[in-house]
Amino acid sequence: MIKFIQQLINGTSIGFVYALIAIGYSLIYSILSFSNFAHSTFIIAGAYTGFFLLTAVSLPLPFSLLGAIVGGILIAVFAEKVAYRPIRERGNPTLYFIIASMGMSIFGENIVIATIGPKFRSYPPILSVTAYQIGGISISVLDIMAAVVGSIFLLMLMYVVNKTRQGMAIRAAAFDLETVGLMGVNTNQLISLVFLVAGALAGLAGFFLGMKYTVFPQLGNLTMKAYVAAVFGGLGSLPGAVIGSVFLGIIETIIAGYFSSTLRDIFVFALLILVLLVRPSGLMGAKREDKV
Amino acid sequence: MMLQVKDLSVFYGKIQALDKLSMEIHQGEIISMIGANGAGKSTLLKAIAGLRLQMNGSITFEGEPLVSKTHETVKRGIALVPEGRHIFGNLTVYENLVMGSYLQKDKKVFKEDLESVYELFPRLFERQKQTGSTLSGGEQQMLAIGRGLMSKPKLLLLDEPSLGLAPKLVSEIFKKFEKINKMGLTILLVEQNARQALALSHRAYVLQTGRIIKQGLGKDLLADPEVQEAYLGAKQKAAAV
Ligand SMILES: Nc1ncnc2c1ncn2[C@@H]1O[C@H](COP(=O)(O)OP(=O)(O)O)[C@@H](O)[C@H]1O
Ligand SMILES: [Mg+2]
Repeated sequence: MIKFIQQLINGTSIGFVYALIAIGYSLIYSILSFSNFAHSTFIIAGAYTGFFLLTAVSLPLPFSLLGAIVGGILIAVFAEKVAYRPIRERGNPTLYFIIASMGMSIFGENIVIATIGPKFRSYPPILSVTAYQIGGISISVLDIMAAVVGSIFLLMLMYVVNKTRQGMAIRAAAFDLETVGLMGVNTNQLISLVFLVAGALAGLAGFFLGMKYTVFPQLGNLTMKAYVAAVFGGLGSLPGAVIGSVFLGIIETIIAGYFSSTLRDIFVFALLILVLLVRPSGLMGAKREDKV
Repeated sequence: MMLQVKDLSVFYGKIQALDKLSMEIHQGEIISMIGANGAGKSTLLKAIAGLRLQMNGSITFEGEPLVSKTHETVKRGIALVPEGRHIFGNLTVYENLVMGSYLQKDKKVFKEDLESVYELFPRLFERQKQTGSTLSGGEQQMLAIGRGLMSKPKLLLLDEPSLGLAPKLVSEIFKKFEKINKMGLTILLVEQNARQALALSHRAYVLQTGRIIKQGLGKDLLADPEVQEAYLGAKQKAAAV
């Protein structure tokens, strides 16, 4: 039982990190109708920025965390401006966005290998060693921080999306982007805002992943799991992305804990295929016309 | 002159949708543009509204050229109620109207505008908390028009507002256009439902494969044998079948 509770806690914590990624992924998908594989680049931007601020600059943790967020934002907004906007303005098909995003993902990974190097680098052990012990269960400070900071950002996002004018425009754009422009909304600015939010969350996730594991050029590949979580929860649905992520984090940790970590990844992708076959709209996704 | 379109040509790749089209609208007018399916009516409205199109020629509004950016056009005082309504099905009726007033910063003005839209379409007031997708076709059309009015436009562009509506509802909505016009708005109405559009309009243009082939007063075009033959013959044809 103690082991189970321990897995539950570990799984929830990693689930929140997945949620940070999945939400941004889902947001971009809901507005531009394509799966942004370049999300991995936003994550490593955050992870490496945080790493260098903590080590080379020796900034305190909160500032390094903010720096990681800024790193994610810069790359995300830049990617949108340089790659996606020209494709949009030429009116090219969705496939072009997907290809561009895959290209960027590969480019991002390799530019890190070429400049910083392929090595795994550990974040300085500021938090990861400290853990609370409660009745045989150990809860690391890092896990608590990931869950708390992650929840704060997710709640802020929910507030923005549901209660502000820009948020309403984002919801409207998820339904019909062109018509949002007819309302007097500058849609390019709105899309930049969405990438800013997605980049911030990805940068934050990168920072937590770096602290939890290590930083390495392929760290962004974890995006695939957030993708599974987003599809599972219902692509385009924000609550769905959070629920799907936490669920995936828990299931994954339990499988790794009781069976093996090889089975874990097989399970994750089996789940993806199953969801796509049985209920492509996911748990909370609206049934709408096919989107790639 | 409020709006002047001069030698406007629009292309979709190799297809030419408008061919050196010129037209004008004066303050306070109701102008209709009639023509068969594919004549280029929607393309003209899209060009005026600032949607991204491959085009040349000029469009000036109140003496200044319009740029091809929809949000700038809205700022200048032009609202497009698009063909097929395009209301936001995932937002409530009220939220759809808020979206229509996106550029309105003054809460008091927003409230007044909202009230006048609800007064014009009481049905929208009754349905204000419902999501757009749950409305009937007629209600969606009212919402699309109301949403267009929320930006306080000087010029309202209406693209086939009667499409898919029952005849009784069409007459009701056309009466609202007269009311909206009396409120001080200039209207450019695009319709396949030519009889009612011509009856309502001060002036009208007949569009065929991207060109204006006729223009004149609404009532003169109603009496024009060629127009009757080509655009008002639906009744006779239906009777013959
Ligand atoms: N997005 C588009 N791509 C290619 N051709 C188009 C597009 N939109 C309209 N057209 C073509 O342009 C012409 C005019 O279309 P449109 O302006 O929609 O006509 P109307 O509104 O009078 O029915 C038609 O021949 C139509 O097929
Ligand atoms: Mg049309």
